[in-house]
Amino acid sequence: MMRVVVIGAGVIGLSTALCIHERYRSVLQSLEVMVYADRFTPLTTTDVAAGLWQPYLSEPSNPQEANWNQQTFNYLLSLIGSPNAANMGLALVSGYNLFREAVPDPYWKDIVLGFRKLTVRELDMFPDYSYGWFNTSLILEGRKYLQWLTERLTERGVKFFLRKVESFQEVAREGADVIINCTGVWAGALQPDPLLQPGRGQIIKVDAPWLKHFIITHDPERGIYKSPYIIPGLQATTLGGIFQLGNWSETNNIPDHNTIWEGCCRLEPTLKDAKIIGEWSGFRPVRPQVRLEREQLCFGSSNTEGMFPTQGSNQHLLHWQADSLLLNHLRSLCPGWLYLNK
Amino acid sequence: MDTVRIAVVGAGVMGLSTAVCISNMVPGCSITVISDKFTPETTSDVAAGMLIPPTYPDTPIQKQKQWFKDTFDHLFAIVNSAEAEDAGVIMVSGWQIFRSIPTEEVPYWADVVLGFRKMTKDELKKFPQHVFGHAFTTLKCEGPAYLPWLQKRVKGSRGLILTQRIEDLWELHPSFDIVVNCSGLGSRQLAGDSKIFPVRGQVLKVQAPWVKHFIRDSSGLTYIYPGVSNVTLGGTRQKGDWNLSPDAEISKEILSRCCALEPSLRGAYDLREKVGLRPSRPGVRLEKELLAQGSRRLPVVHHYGHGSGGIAMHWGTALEATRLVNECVQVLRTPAPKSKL
Repeated sequence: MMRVVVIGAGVIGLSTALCIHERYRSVLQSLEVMVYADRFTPLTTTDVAAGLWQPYLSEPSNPQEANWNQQTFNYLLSLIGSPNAANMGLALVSGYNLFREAVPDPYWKDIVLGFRKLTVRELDMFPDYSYGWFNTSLILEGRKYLQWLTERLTERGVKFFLRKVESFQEVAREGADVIINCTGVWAGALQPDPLLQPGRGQIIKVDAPWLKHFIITHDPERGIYKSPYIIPGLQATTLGGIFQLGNWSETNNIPDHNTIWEGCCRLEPTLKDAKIIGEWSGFRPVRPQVRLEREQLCFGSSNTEGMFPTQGSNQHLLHWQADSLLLNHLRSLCPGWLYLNK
Repeated sequence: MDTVRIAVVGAGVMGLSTAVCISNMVPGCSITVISDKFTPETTSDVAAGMLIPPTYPDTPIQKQKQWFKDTFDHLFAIVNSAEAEDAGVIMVSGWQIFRSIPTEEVPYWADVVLGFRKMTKDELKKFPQHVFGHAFTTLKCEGPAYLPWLQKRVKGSRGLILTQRIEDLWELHPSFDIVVNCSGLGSRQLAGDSKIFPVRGQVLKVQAPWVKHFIRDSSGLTYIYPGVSNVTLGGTRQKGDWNLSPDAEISKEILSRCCALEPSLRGAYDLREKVGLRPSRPGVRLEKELLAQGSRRLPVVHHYGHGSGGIAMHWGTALEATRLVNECVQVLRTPAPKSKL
């Protein structure tokens, strides 16, 4: 019996669990997949994210991440034609990226649909900006997606446990053959990782159903996500523009609220009539590169494989592909699994 | 200078926008809008209000383009202002898709809408039955918000709004000096115009807030138009059909055609059926007529017959109707013994 324990129930944890179950259930004699987490939806970081598929503008230092981004987009795009798309939290959305000066095209311009530069008349709508892009991308709304993943996993008999894991050892001692650490920004508590930091964000969700496009502004001097953005979701619209590296405060604060509100209303004046539904803070799990690697853990006489996907603020983007890589790892493990039994 | 008393018959998008235009552009008039139906019970309230214009066979293309451009520019200014929500005007992007490559790949209005281009191969993958398409951003102007917004403007310029059914334009004589006829299908009776006929349209207004793009089959028969608080699914084009009651079979069939283009619509909820009769004509009637009966004279400006292009063309034709009204006003004010109309 192969026991795989996934620690973490955000988008990475749950999609990894589903990926593994889908790919290996039929191959392995008996496979038990369990999810341990101290937070489940709607309390995860994933639940706070707006859920727009859009990578950073500059190429990732690990070129493999670009592949993961693309494969995730293509996978989600293939689901757009399904009648269940909205139930999954998935929808197509088009919109604007705005800049104060000309910039090179992003590496993902051929991944999204219909990428083009903005015309003069379109730029006239945004007096603070002089250059920009238009493209069609995808929204994968965190809460709905996690609910959907939870249903799929439950159907497959995957069990969920509300618990705070203090160490890999405790999990290994209980009989885990493979542990997958998807604890996101809190991964450092299980194994110190000086490269991992919180990128604190605060967002306001409003009811503004007349807005059909995302609008993301860029200010290279201030840095990514520190400039106002407006992202319509399946029901509500997310307003943001906060990115604070190293800030662990999970409470909303007023100066950030004002920054978001003023910035977004300046960008889109009709927001003054929008009803505020709620406000949330979350920690983007920021790292120079996604950590996706396996490590052999030895606890006494047993060996356990650990796998660690943790990444930056574009966690949605990478998740499906991190999983495939994981599966490639698992596949390569297969011959060796015989001796992994404790 | 005496005040010229103008009656506008009809309170759909044509009547109200013409009233506003006249109050903006023609000095020294009083305006009264007279209609038996007001929002939300007009044809304009059923229309989705997408700015994708039709082609009128009897009107020169340049003129249609001017009407569309005037309307687009007018609404674009509103959508970029803080009034957008009150006026019910939004921006929406999407696709017009073709089952076979059209002879005219670029329509006359391509440079009026925003960001017009042909769809890429990847975009077309979403529509396996279609081989060609346009991608662009346009405006949607919703009657249930826009008409009340226009009514506020009419009243703000001291215009009057009266509920009354007019059976004959002569009822307005001698209380009014000029009549602007925006009665749509009512002109069959009021103006004795046999060229105007209904083209029945049935639609479903549904809840599907995750749909952010419009999709229109180039035939114009199947479309998905997301609006502020609902999505309009359509439709039908039934010539000569005056029936205002929704047909349940047709509703099922519309839903099925729309789900074929956008499968997630299977999850749409709170479906409401609506019917509107497009006031169709080979061309928009936009002209002056001097009614005469014995020694009585009544100048009339006709402004009706927009078919499926009412919202898309309304401001451009209202501007032209206002110019015609102005001409009538000039004639009335000219101290000549005979009218030259």
